[in-house]
Amino acid sequence: MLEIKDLKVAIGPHTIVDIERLSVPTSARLGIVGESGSGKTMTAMTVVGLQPNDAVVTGSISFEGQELVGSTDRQLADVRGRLIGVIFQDPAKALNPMMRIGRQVTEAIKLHLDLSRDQVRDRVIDLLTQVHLPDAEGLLRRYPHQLSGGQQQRVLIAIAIACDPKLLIADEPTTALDVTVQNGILSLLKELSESRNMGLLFVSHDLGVIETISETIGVIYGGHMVEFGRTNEVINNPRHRYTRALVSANPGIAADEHLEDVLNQRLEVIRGSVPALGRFPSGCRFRGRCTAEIDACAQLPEVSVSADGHIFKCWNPVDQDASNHGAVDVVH
Amino acid sequence: MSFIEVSGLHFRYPSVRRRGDLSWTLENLDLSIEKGSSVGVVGESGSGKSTLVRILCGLLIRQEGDVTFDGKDLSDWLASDSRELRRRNQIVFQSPRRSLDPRMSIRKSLGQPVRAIERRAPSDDEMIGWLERVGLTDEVLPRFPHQLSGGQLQRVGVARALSVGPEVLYADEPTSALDVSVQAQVLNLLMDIRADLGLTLVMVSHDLAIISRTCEHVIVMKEGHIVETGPMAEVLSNPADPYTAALVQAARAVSLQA
Repeated sequence: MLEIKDLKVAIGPHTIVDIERLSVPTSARLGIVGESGSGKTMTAMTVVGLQPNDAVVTGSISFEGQELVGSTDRQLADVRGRLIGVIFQDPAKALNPMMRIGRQVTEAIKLHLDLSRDQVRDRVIDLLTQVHLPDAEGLLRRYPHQLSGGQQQRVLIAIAIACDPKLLIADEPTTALDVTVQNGILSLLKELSESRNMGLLFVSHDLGVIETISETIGVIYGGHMVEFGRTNEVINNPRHRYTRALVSANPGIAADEHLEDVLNQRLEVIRGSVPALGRFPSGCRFRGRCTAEIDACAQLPEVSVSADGHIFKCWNPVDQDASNHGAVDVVH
Repeated sequence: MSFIEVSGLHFRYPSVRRRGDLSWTLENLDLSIEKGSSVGVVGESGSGKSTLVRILCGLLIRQEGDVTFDGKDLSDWLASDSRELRRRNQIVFQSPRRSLDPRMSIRKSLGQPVRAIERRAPSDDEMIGWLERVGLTDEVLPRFPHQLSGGQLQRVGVARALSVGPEVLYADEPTSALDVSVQAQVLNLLMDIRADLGLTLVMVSHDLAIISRTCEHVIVMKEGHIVETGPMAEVLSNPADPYTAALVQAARAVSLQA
């Protein structure tokens, strides 16, 4: 459905995203994980033409055969909302504080569909019910500040799916929310993706969140896709050194019997921090922070395929056998 | 008597009162914190966890109830010896970028607590010592906050809090503004410092996973009340309150599984 080829996004002299190939089949759920500054949001936003004005995009993004790179604003505006829905990180900022909820959802429908007033109203109420908001009728007249963060995000999801898009792009949709609310939103997104055959491109820095919702994961670092494969294979058998480091640094809750063992135990860290734009090393982008660097790393790694079928780009990959390391149950 | 002792604590923000609302932001809290222990305060946003911590370190004044630090009531501390109270209780805030003055060099920001509390200007050598303890070098001294990364700034925040030699370190969501890899670095730093200096650590977080790795005791808050408190492993494996159980379940759902 969505095919990305040789996509490069550059701002000034710096290439921020450089992805050779990425595809999202119809109704698939793909997670993109990376730290801030890795280019994950830029990749997702470029798909719908929401990259910054000064960004130069080359390569190809095709959605159901339609080429999006180089499309006019008008063409993109038609794709956005109708074919591809988008939800953002901070629901409070994405809603207009001065406009009633009903009108904000109505606007999204009117922009793309030609329906009568009554049909629009029915559809709005239906949408708000579908995202499990109680009292949809009463909600129409409310303002965003009268809703909690989780409810606001549900309204935004209703807006995003208003015109039955085939793909929903979700950029860190739960980062601003509490963990209990987060789980509600995650299961809603999963449910909607399944019931509507809607693809999901889910961007997050949190592997734990990605794990619950995506079937496949792309790990992105320095604008490069360094590992890609089925979710459980990438998380349980990471081959790229960066993926493994990311898994190890994620402090989950240990199993009950290990709770005391991991208490006050140092966490595994990734050395240093993500370099600033344009400061990434040549060759493998993870060079300098990696603990298993070899001479070959000065060159761009080639694509390798792991025994379980996922692909990675690393000159000195984690051993397949010894790699079951990210499990939180393991005492480091 | 415990090091920090709270009983019947009530608190409301003045702005709430002005709107004619008489409900409490914090209502009837009881808790005690032993010297040298590590305590995690968890709960959703709006549950009052940050408010509680600000009261404990003397930044907000409670309306009713008793709060004692080292055997002396907090209002007595504030009335007679507020500087000593602040020297012994320091806090690290959530957003390092917002808690440092953007127009002050790190050298100047870092020296502020000693200037305010000990009424003297710290030497560069002293400051370099503080920075080294948190894994930074003298390179950052002439820089400004916008020139440092989030992780570096949070280290500066920790160095600054430690500069006056506190006994209790409060950390209010110290890593929620940071990437997961940097978060691990800051958590390790806090655990190391606590072990080296024998500090009492009180850490606020909405993330139970982080608390489960760093705190021996846990206080679970909801809507201004303490719903459960106890040793971390006990509370997590056998939650007595339904809200705690929901919290543990939610946190487990997004924990990486083997």
